[in-house]
Amino acid sequence: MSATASRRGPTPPSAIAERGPKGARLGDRLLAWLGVRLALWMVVVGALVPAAIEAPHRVTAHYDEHYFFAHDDAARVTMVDFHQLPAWNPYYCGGIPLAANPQDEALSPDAILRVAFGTALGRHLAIILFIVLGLEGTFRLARRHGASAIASAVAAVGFAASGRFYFMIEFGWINMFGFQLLPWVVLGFEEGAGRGAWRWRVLGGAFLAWMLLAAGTYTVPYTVLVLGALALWDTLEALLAKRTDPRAPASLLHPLLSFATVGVVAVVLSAAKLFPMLRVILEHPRLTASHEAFSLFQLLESILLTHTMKRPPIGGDAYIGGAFLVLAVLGCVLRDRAAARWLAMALAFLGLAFGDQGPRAAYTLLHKLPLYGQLRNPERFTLVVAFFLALGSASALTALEDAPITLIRAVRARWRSFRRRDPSAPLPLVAALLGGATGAALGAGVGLVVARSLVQENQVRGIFSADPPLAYATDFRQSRGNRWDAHVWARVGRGTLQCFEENRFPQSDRLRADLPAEEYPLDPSRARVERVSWSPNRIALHVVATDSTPVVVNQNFDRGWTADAGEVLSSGGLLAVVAPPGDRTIVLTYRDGWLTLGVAVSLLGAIACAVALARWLRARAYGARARWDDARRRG
Amino acid sequence: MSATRRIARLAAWLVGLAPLEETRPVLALSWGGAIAAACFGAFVFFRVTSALWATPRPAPVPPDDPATSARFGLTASDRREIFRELAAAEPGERASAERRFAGQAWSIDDDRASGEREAVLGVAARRKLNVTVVYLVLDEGIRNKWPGPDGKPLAAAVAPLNPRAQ
Repeated sequence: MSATASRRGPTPPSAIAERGPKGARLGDRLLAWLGVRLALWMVVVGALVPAAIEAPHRVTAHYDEHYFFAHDDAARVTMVDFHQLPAWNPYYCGGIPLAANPQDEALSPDAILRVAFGTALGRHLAIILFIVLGLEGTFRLARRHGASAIASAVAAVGFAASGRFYFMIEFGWINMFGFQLLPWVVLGFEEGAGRGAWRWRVLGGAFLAWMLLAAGTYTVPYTVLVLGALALWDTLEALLAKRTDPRAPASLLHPLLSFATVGVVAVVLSAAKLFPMLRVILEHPRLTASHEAFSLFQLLESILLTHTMKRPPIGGDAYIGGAFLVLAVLGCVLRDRAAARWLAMALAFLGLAFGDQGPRAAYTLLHKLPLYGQLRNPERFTLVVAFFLALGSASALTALEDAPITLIRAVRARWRSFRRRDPSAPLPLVAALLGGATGAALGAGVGLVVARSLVQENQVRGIFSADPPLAYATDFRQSRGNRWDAHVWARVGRGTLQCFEENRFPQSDRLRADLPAEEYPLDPSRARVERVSWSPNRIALHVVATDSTPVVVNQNFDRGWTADAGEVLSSGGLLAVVAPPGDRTIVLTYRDGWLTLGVAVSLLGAIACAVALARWLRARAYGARARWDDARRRG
Repeated sequence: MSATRRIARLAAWLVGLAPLEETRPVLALSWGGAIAAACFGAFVFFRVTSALWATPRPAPVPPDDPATSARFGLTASDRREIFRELAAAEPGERASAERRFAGQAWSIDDDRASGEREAVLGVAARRKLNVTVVYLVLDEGIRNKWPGPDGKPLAAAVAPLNPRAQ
């Protein structure tokens, strides 16, 4: 093993990699270029989600899509039109926290796409970005475990194109596409388990932070479980290795250290979302259903049967197909440790997907943990099952690709032994080319059939059928609204009072949609009020009061609101300020202290990461320069 | 080195039989190949996503015209008529919701809103209007207390958020 490999974490447990060709394969050379892979991934994206490309400004008809669109649009309006942090959302429920809302993705890195290209197009671009990242991350993870490039590409399609993602598009759950970052987090954790591989841990932490910033209500708890399970597995494996061979180099603490570092980096980089969100979760817990359980038949049906074969799917679809399962099992049969590890993980997470099967069921016990008790829909664990099955399939496909060259080598060694010549002599070039090309064709052929059938089955077409929301220039007002079409309100300057949230935010019963003005004195005989300026987080009012009297704003009260004059209070749940007597302008400002602190922490963390990245890039540039100089010296 | 030998060495490298010595031409070819591959990847990206960039953005709602009292691109009488159609459906929607969710104020209002959405979609389809415009007309009617089917204005308040009450 080279020095580089020993620094990069434990040796990937792949017996197939050991049995395969000692050098690279034909496909490995071609797919080594990122640009070639990007082209391949884009072909997959084009085949998988033509709907997201064909109608970039439209939305689906599903109300959840409208909900998430509404929150994204509120954040965009706040940032682009008013140049403010997305702290308060006056466009929904009469006013609720925005970035602190667990389901909001305003501070996610992919929000840049929505800011730059508009909410609708930005959401469609985010889908494409996440799929490409999922493909590339799974490819790299499979490669790390000794799979061939072709097998890794098929595994990448297996995960990134698995069914659970594609009904999420219709539901508008772009936040759930954070699951496409799961392979990157696992890659960071695994590579980071090596001595001195702190950059990988930072990378893993950064991707976990992205998940959290992208409203990772499910992605983050699931990913933490995945990392915990892998850390436990690797620690036990290292422990066993130590018992059988005390000189074994593996360290017991490295997996746990990597897990912890990934977690700390994630907390720092996602503090902008995490800190204010924790307050919201603790004050207004998520609403959960009481009992959810599924049978083995239901789960297997969801994973293995095509849409035309199955009954109405449970909580959406998770189709990955039988081929990936067969290949994953075949990898274990071929005694590949990587395949065994992935399959064991798939089974463990399938166990969680059963749900509340009794007081000792894994899911029931998981529900007793802090925060995990707020999760619903255990069938969503099938997505993690698909991830591990896809990775597991790569081992068997690699063995298939290597079969011709292994066969040629074995036959030739026998022949040379028979002729009393050295059986370990290298293969002639023609035989190696023939074996390599046959293997590549075989692997690519089988892989193409498996991957294409999955992509065709999960293809998303024609779902963006609903009208795009239109802009309308007007002053902000509350309307009765309608949460079933929540996407139309923010860009016409209206708040929708009728709403739904997973967390039970307080909503005043005094909010109205027929007021002559949105800000008014509680006692009109004592004061006159006129709006000077309005923005989501700052409202300036000209108040002429003959006596100290409350001035009411037609929005929910939250303790984040402050005023530069008078006391801010709740008037029947509405935001109000006690205006002192006189003629003055009162400025109400919404500030979330936890958000401000979180943004500061995240910014400092991001700057530290940027510096580390710059130093790493500089070191790479120096390395490239040194290689060039060496090449010149060699002539 | 002859061209044949070079090709043979390249072929041997391709199948992993022998490493390539890092000479300047090899490095230049490797880096040039990576750059060319990146350009190819970018080309395929823009080719696949061309519809994303070519589709025009939807036009905004037309501005109000005080001279003709037109709003949202509709005359006053058209808006009144649309509001009447939407308001006519509301008592039935509310009664149906009350039967389904007796005693649960938020759920009743939410179910009523679901019915309202169907009515909005129906009006939008019949009149070939964007749903945003239909909702703006409904909002205008509620704000200005236009009479509903029973002669009274539609409710301008909603039941506070309380989902999954049972």
